[in-house]
Amino acid sequence: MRGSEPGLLRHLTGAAAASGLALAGLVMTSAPASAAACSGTSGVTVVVDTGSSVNTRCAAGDPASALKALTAAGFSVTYPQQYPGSVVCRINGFPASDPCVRMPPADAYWAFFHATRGGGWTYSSSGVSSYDPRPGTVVGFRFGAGQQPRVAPPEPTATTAPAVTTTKPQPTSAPRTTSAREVTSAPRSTSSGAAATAPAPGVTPSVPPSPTPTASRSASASASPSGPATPTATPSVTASTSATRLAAAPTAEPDDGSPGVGTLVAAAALLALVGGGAGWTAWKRRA
Amino acid sequence: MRSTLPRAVHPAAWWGWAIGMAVAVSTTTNPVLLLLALCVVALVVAARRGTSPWARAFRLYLWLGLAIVVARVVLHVLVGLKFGEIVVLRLPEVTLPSWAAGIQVGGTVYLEGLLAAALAGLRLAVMIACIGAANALANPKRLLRALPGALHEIGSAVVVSVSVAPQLAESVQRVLRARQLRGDTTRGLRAVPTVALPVLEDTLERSLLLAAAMDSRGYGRTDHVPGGHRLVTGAVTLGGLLASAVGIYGVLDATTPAAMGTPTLLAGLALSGLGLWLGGRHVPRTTYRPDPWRGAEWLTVGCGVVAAATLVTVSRTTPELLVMPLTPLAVPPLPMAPVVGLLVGALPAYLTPAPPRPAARAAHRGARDRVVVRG
Repeated sequence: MRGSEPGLLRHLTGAAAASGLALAGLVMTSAPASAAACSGTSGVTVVVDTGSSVNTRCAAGDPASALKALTAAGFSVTYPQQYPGSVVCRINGFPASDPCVRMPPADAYWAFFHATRGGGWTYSSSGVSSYDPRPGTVVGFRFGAGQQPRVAPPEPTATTAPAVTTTKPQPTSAPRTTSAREVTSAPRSTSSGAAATAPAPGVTPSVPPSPTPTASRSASASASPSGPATPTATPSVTASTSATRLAAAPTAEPDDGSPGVGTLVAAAALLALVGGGAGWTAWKRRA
Repeated sequence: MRSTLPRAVHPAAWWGWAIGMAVAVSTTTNPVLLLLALCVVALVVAARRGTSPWARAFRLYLWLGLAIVVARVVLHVLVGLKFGEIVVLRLPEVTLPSWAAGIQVGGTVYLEGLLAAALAGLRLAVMIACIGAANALANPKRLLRALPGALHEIGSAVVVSVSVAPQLAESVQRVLRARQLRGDTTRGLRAVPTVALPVLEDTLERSLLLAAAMDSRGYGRTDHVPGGHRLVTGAVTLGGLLASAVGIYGVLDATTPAAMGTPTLLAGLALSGLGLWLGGRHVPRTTYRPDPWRGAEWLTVGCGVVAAATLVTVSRTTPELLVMPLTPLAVPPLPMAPVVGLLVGALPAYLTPAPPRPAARAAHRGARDRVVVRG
C-alpha cells in the first residue's frame, strides 16, 4: 500500500498541474466556486453524479438550502415548470431528454443525499429547497432511480484537492449562465490560479448558454455575438470523465423558444379582439 | 330554422361546455392562453346569459378570481418558497426551526417566484370563472329536473333548498314595491311587521302551489314494486357504487393490478347506471315542458370537448408550449393549436339560439317608471 501512495500523489499533482495549465491556457475567469471539495469546515461540498461522471465542487459560505448550495457551487439548475423553485429537473442541462414540465419520473430523477465529510450518504427526507446543509458537510445529487452517488463523501481536508474520483481531468470550456448577482456575491474560492489570470478576453457579457464543447479560446470567443442579452457567462472548469457530455448538455436548455415582441403583439391583439368582443356584446345586450 | 328561435339551451349542455373549458385551462400556466380562455368564457356569458338572478352572478366569480390571485401572491410573499434570479423586494427572513422546513417566512422576493405564484392563482381563477359561467348560463332548477327518476326525491329536496333564498328575496322585493305603491315609506325595524307577514303568507302560498304542481305530476306517489325487484335494484346499485370506489382506487394507485383499475371502474359505472334505470322505472312521474336536446346542445358540448381535447393532447405531446417559461424568464409562447382549440370554445356565443327575451322585466321597469312620474 505504501508503494501506491506516491503514485497516487503524483497522479493528483499531475492532475492539478494539468488543470492549472489548462486554466492558464484558457484564460478563465474564476468560477463562482472552486472545482473541488471545500477545504476545512467552511463551505458546503456539492457532489453531482450523472451516473456516468462525477463532478465535485464547493459552495463557499453557508448556503441557506441545498438548492442554493448547488447553484452557488456553479451548477445551473432547471426546474420542472410545474414545480418551479422546489424540484431539481436538470443539473447543467442533464438530462436533456426530460422536458422538465412535470415531476421527473421515479426511475430517472436527481436523488438528493447529504452526508458529513468522510461519512456515508443519507437519502434526504426533506427537499432540496428546504434542507439547510451545515458548513463543512456534503450534499450529493445522483441521477437515476434513487441510487447513492458512486463516490463516497470527500474526506475532510485542509487543502484543496482537485476533483475526486476522476481519471485525468479534461478541462473544457463550458460556459454556464449565472446571474451577475451570484457572480459578484459568491466569494472567490480558495485555490486555483485562475483568479490571477482573470481578464478573460474571450468572454463577453452576452455569451449564450449553449456552449461549444471544444476548449479553445476562439471557440468561446466566436460563440459570443449571437446570444440573448440577459445571461452573463462565467466559464468554469469541468473536470469529469465525460466532459463532452456535460459540456454538450447545456445546449438543451430552453433558450431557443423566446419568441419576442412579435408574439407579445399577436397575443395582445388576440386578447383585445376576444375581450373586446365580450365587452361589446355585454354592452349591446344591456342597451 | 326552428333552432334559431330564442330558447334556453339545455343546462347540462352548458355544464358540459364549462367543464371542458375548465379541463382545458387546468393544463396550462401560459398567461396568454389563460387570459384567452377567460375572454372566451366572458364572451359566451355576455352573449348567451338570461335575465335570471343567477345570470348576473358571473361578475361575482370574476371578483372571487381576482381575490384568489391576490391571496396567492400575498401568501407567496409571506410564507412561500422564494426562488429566481431577479430581485423584486428584499424582506427580512425569519429563521424557522428545522421541522418547519418548506415554509419560508419573509425573505427576498424574486420576479420568477412571484410570477409562478400569480399564474398558479390565475389558473385557478379562470377555472372558477368557467364554473361561474355555467352557473350564469344554466338554470339550476332545470338542471335538477334532468336527474334520473330514481333520484327524484333528492332532486326535489335540492330544488326546494336551492329556490328558498331567491324566492324569499323576490317576495320581499315584491312586498316592498307594493308598499311603495301605497305610499307606505316606513323603513328600518318598524317596517318589519308590515313586511314579514305578507312575505310569510306569500311563501306559504307558493309552497302550496309547488306542492300541488308536484302532486299533479306524480311526485310523492309510489308505484307498487315487488320485493324481489326492489332487492335486485338495491343490490345492483350498491354493487355498482362499490365497484366504482374500488375502480377509482385502482386507477389512482399505480401498484394495484391493472384489472382493478379502469375495467372495474367502468363495470361499476355501468352497474350504477343500470341500478338507477331499474329504480327509475317504477317512479311514475311526468315532466312539464321538457327541455329539448337538439343540435345546439350537441354543438355546445362538442365545443367544450374540442377545447379540452386540444389542450390535453398538446400537454401530452409538447407540454413546453403550455407553460410560462420561468427559468430563464422569457416571453410566453403563442402556440397555434391551443389558441384555435380555445377559440372553438367561443363558438356557442354565436351558434346557439339566443336566450328568450324576458317579458316580466320590461313590465316591472314600466311600473317603476310610472311610480316615478307620479311621485
